[in-house]
Amino acid sequence: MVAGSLDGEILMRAIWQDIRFGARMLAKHPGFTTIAVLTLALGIGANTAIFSLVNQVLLRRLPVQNPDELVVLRSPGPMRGHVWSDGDEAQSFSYPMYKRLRDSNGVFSGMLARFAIPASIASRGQTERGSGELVSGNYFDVLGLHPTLGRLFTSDDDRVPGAQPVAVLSHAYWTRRFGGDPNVLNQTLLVNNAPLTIIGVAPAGFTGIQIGQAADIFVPLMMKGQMTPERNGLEEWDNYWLAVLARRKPGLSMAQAEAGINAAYRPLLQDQLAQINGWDPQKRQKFLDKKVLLVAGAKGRTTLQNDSGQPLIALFVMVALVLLIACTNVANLLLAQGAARQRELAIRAAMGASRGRMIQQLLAESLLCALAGGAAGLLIGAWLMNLLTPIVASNLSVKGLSASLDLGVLGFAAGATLISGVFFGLLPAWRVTRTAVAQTLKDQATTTSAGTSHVNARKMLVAGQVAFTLLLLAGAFLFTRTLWNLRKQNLGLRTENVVTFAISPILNGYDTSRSIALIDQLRARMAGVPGVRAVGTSELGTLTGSDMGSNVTIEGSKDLAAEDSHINFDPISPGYFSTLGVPLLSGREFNEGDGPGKAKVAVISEAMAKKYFAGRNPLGLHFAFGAGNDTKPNIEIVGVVKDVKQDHVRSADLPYIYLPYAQQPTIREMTFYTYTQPDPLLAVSALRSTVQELDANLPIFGIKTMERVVDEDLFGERMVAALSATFGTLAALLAAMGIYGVLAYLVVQRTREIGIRMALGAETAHVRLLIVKEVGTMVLLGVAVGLPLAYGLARLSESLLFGVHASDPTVYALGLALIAVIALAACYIPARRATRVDPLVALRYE
Amino acid sequence: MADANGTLIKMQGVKKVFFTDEVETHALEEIHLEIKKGTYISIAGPSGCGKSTLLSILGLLDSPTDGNYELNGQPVGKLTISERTRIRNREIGFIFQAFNLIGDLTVYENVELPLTYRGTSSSERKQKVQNALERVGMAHRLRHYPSQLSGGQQQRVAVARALVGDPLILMADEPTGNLDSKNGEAVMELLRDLHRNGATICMVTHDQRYANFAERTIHLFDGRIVEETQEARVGAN
Repeated sequence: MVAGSLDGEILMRAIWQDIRFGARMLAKHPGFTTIAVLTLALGIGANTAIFSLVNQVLLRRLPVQNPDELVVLRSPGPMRGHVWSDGDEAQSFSYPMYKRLRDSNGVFSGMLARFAIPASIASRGQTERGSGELVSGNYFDVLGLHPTLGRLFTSDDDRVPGAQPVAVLSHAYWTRRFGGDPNVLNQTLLVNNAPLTIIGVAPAGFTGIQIGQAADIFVPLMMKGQMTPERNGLEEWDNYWLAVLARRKPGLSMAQAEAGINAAYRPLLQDQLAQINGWDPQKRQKFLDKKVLLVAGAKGRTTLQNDSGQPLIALFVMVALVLLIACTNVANLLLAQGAARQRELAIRAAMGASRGRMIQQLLAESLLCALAGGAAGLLIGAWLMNLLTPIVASNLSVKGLSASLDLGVLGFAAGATLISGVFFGLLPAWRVTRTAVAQTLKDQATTTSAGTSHVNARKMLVAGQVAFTLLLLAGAFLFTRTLWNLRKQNLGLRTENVVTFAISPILNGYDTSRSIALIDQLRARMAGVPGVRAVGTSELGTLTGSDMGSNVTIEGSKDLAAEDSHINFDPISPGYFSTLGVPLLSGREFNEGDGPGKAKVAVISEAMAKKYFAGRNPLGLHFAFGAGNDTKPNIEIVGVVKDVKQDHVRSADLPYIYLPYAQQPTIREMTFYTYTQPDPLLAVSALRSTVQELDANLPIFGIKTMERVVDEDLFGERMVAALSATFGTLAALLAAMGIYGVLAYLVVQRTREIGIRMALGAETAHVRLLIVKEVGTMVLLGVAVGLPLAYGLARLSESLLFGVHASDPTVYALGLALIAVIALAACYIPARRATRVDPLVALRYE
Repeated sequence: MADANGTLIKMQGVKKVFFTDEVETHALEEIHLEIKKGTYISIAGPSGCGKSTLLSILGLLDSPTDGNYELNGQPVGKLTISERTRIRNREIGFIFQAFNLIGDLTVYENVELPLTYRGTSSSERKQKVQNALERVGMAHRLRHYPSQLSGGQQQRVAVARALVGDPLILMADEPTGNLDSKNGEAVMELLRDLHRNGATICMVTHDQRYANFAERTIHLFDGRIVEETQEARVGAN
């Protein structure tokens, strides 16, 4: 025991000695230390910032009790009726199905349901657009959450539809909107025109069960009719809208839970099937064979993760490569320094230091250097996070992202620092302590020029850097090309000088006829605003990813295949096409005469005309929404317009139907487009005033230019292109530094050899070629490794590309050309230095 | 080509001054020297007398501060660096005290080097390298690296490298300086054999025994030629 503690004390003293000596050595070589620390800081800082996003979007678990027990329910397969989806239809359940699943299973300790809603929230004389969640009475209970204030919902709040006018505020909304006022309880809010009493405040940090969404208020499911006045559907079996999560009973595996829930699911499907008519036996059987699949729910619903996962992972791989290149650079610097310290190490060995002891000493130096780099990297990371996070949050409409350095990010930075320190320190320490003591100490005259085999490790590191740089450059070129191609897409509409914003009158108590009247009035008034040349509206925001579709029956086209009969549509106003500059190919735009009670009309896209009316003139022909023998085409096609990128810039030109909004049974919200000159932003306050003059309580949201709309739609591509280009540039600079460092060292090492060669008749060109050959070897080796890797990674990222393929030779040619330029630039000074070697001086080395 | 008298090297009033900060060091003063083709000349003298400086100027590795130097009838004082390099490559063969072989190249590659810079074809190079190595008795070590050879063997390879381009003159700077006496003798015998076969050799040595291998010896002291021995005395054993 005593001996043990003595050993420990000796070890601690040795470590302390190493740390002090290491600090002295770093201080003694300020040039090396500055370059190494800065290089590492850039690598660690960039990694920390990207990790912060990865952590918050992809890795963060719900801040609830035992999140690992949670599961998300999916049920892929045939559906009939109205399906609401934000990416995965299979995650949508009807309320009756949820209720019976909840009450009849024996494998879950609780099962919650939830539906996200837009909310027009009026309180204390102010109305604002917010977000809400309709949740089951057991929602907070299943999640194991406790209120900050008041109470949360209970199963009592689940009993009578329309009879639970209560709300729980999110902690963030309570703090932001009410300043954390404890007297907020029992106050009344007007949410979507329904008065709700505040009964409690949710716990801090909890924003809902979907990362990226943050509810301001939680409202009982029973209030569905009031919160979504355009459609209630609470008790409808064929209204699929609820996301369902459940908590497994302790000790139950996923497989056991899945078996248990499916035992309860089958009879419910049979009951629902009894209400479905018109399906053939095969489809009925398919419906009955549907299963509930359980997905791990610790991270909640993973819609954002699914959408953003690949670009984030691609960025994370790229930034990790930058750190790897940075570490390689530092390792290279350490190898150079180590070569200069071989005599010191030989003396230490002669004095009895074991190799392990010397490695320990060198690693202490590396770790000190890494720590300094890590600390500086954390500062750079925090700065980058402050820069990136708001941009990501606003462009992707992701809520709940934080730019603060939380424990996860700090842990990552610490881990990256430690791993970097060991990574770049171990190889040099291993190599430089391999020196033969006697040979090093013997001050012998050499009779041959110094060999360069000891530089091989450094050359290999540079080759690795070149390989990684090629990976990053290929990625940067692919993603930049993708963005370029998307920017050059013909959107089919005008984006310059157009301002857009939206309103949702239905959430402020407007019925359809009042909504139509309001929108008509607004259009008329806005047309009179100075500078406004044209005004148009559409129910779905163009290029926002929203869509709405239905099966159609087309006059003269019988038996359309199921996948061909579904077409998206958008209710629009007269003047929509002219406002957005969409060319009319034939027929007419809508006019004020296309109102309620008049003949139903539609304008179709060129793609629809080509697909469904090939060889026919669609004007005057009819179609209808819905399918089946009873469906009679009753909507007349009055115009054909050029294709427009409706959902996304990336979207293909698909068949599309435009309807007059005045002929729609309900209007959820309306997006306005105003074409203004000269400066669209000058009209914004006038447009806002126009809305407020008609209804001061009607929130306006999403005010932006169409150019901004396009930018937001392309945000993912812009971010990936910009960051990959930045990382590629950084990698190229680091690789250039690495190549320069090795070549400069090589020229010094080979001065005598160069002198001999020059004495024997080598001309400037020969010497230059000698250096270029060195760089060529390193580059070729790096390219040989990097090229297939770059292609492999490009293949993995193919879904992120647009208009360019992973196998596009120009991308790799550009990458190789840039590598060649970097290599030649990096070898310019060493090569020049080599050609200036004076053979006479070089030979005096003897 | 040597002039009508067979003079290969002609130096008149050559001076070499090194300027270091504010100090002028006169390494050579008023050197007048003629070397005829086929001569074996040694430059002897104590350490620091200017022997190596003279050899460097003779070998076009350095330029005189003053005076005239004609090599093979051509004044070399105003040649460009490139022209001097070409002359070194084609007309001069160097043998250094420290052998100066390149560690990363094999024996074959080391010997081949001057021919590579000359642009000689591969087949011709191969033949010449083989011949040169046979002349010095090292043809059996083609694939060896310098570090795998003894000092004597390394110097033989260096001699082969000096010979391989059929130079007008061999410049040997203390060729035995890094060898033991046995290997030193062997190298000197080799040089004598080469001379007997017509080679012109200019050798720097501070060892009188080896100086005696030459048929003509000039003695330097403080940068000046102080004595010249015209008759070579053969054998030092």
